[in-house]
Amino acid sequence: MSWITVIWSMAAGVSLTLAAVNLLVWLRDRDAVANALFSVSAVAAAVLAMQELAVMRAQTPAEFGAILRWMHVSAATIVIATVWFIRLYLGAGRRWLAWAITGLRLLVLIPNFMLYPNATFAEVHALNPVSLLGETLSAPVGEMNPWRHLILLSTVLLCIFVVDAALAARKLGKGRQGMVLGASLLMTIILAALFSALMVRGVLPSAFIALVYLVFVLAMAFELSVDMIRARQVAGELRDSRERMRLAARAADLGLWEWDVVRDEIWSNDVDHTSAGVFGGKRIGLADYLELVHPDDRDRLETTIRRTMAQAWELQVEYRMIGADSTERWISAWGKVEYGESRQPLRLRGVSVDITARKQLEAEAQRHCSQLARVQRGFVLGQLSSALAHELNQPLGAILRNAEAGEAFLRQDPPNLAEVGEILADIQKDDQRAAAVIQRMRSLLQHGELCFGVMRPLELVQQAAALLEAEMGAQHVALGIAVPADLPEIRGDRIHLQQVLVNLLLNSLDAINAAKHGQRQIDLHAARAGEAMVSLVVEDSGTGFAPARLADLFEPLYTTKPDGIGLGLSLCKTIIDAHGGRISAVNRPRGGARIEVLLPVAAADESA
Amino acid sequence: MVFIVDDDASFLKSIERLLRSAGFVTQCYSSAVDFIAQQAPDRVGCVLADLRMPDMDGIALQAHLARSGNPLPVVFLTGHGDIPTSVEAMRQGAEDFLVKTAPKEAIIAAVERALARGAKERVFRAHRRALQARLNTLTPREEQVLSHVMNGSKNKQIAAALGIDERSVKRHRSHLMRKLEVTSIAELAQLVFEAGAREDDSYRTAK
Repeated sequence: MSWITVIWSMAAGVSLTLAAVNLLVWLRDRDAVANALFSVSAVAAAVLAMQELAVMRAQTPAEFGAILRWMHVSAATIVIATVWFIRLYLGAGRRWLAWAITGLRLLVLIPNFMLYPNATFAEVHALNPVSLLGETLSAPVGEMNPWRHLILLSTVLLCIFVVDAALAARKLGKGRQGMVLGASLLMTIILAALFSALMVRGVLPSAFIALVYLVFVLAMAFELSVDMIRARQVAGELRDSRERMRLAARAADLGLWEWDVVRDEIWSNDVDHTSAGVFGGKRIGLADYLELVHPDDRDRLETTIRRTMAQAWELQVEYRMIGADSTERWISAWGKVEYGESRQPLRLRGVSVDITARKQLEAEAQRHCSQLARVQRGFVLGQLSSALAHELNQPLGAILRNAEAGEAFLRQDPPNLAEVGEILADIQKDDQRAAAVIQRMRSLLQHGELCFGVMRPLELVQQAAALLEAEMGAQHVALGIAVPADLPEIRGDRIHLQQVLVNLLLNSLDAINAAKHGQRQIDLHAARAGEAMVSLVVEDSGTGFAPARLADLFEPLYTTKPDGIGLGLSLCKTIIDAHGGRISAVNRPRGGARIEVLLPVAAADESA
Repeated sequence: MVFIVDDDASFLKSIERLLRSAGFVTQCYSSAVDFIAQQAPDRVGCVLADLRMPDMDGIALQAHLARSGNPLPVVFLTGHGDIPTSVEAMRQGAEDFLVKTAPKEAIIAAVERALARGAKERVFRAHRRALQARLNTLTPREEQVLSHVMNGSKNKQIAAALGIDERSVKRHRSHLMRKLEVTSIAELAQLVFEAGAREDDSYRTAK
């Protein structure tokens, strides 16, 4: 066997081997199109090697020309596949250049097949015997085809494309790949152009493209081995990272989970059964998991998950699970959805943690707040006791006087029954009046946990104002109420919200008394504040707040009153916060204070 | 006559009934302003007023009456008698201060006391007015002499102070003693005291 045959066959073999490796990569991961393209170009290079072997041993000029014609197809395939491989592999290179090179190479194929014999030669006159490695081969002698300039142009563009892509890859942090592939490819192109020129001049029997291409193939082989080394490293890091994650999860009692949406399988890390919202061991479906969730939270959790997936939100949800010992555990879960190429959800991944203790503390705090609010209401009642007693004694006094008068009228001779009849009617009226006063007072004495309901702002304001009507009257303060009747309903605890308004109005009353002179006027008005809120504003003509203290106005135990306990405003803030609202205070430019309370509008399905 | 002033219509009606059934003659007003607007200077009786009322409260009403020529006695009623308001009312010279739910007997006794005091004060005021009328007949010179006499000055001193002779002083003295229908310095002193003691400023306004 001749050396020529051995060398060229080996070149073809190397190319084919790399092609096979890259093809395998692509078969495993269909996203690795770059590897597939490399595979195509390497196969074309192997084919070209065989064609070169044949062309060097051509017997007649016609045979030489015909083989060279088909070699153009292989060369074009190599160039086009390589260009797009570079673009995908490095993620760099100008698209228009890639298309220009592709276009030129395909264009050259037209005259290649239309004109005789091919795109390189206009005519091959004769074959010149050349001696190489102890073998006599045929080098062509002929006239050059002007279409060959297109090939040269495409080669120049290819050089520019490669250099540009390598430089751009450096900016993308792929400097090494850019260097290795760019340099090797540039060398390949220059050598191919050089040998091609020598062949055209009849010095060489062929352009030796298949041999030259080996430079690029070897560079690619180097890249692959680097990738493999890195893959091993990554695998090690992944193992470490997994171990660290497992430790962290264990230390923090974190549940890690993943729901494969397509297969409907939930995987979770190994934490005790249903603690942290996960379960070790067997793989279960979403329906099985929901079985472990508290029945009251089941629908809400499922809806939240579906909505999260549909809207590409982050999952953030709190729900209860029933443990193996039938105890209730609060779980807080956080997760993210991973989507496939056509935006279909593939998996939902996340962490969860047992927040039962926190929930218990929250409930405890809530209870304390309710108790404190009740104590403060008692304090308010104390403040109002004089006015309320006065209000109550009016009807009681009237009842007593009427009864005494009635008795006297009955003793008259004859008894004045007409008068007694009127008296009895009046007694009934006054009795109802007294009952209404007691009813109002009771609202301040009622204890109770937060009990959310839906109410109209006007009603709330009127009830709070009724509690203070007597006090305001006694102190000669006018209360102006402006609440549009068409405001949306708000959601909240009626008694606590009343308490907030009563506190604010009492503060205003005190501020007006402290101011001593000026208008004795408090305004309470409400308005819509955006889509989701209703604003209630209490304004007075009193002394206002000391500017330096505006910041800690809502701190507990802050008071400006000699007999105050400093709970009013801080409690207002606590209550409003628990309602998801906001409270803020400012001084009016023309004097006096202005406090604004923002409360959330009741959801449409809550309104009565 | 008992004038009842209360802004609470229902209580106004009930207390009116009670007093009427107890034999009093009454007249009702729903506010102090109303009462003052219709006030006749020769009203006789007492006022039964609510302490807490809008616009003009009981204490302001009492102060207004005291300034007028006919200071009727006032009995205060209140829904709830807390300490600060009762102290204030008493300081202002309220005849009585009662809560609206006080026993019937207490209210009736207070009204009777007020009426009696009103009658006594009326007699006293009439007497004083008569004495003041006598004082009003004095000439300016006689008045000057009177004030010096009341200070305990001798005729000689008075003459020196006024720049007139002693005989003229004696003449003025006897004239004024005759006009004031007194025979001794002691009687003169009592008259001046009775005419001006109770309400010094009303003596002065009368002049």
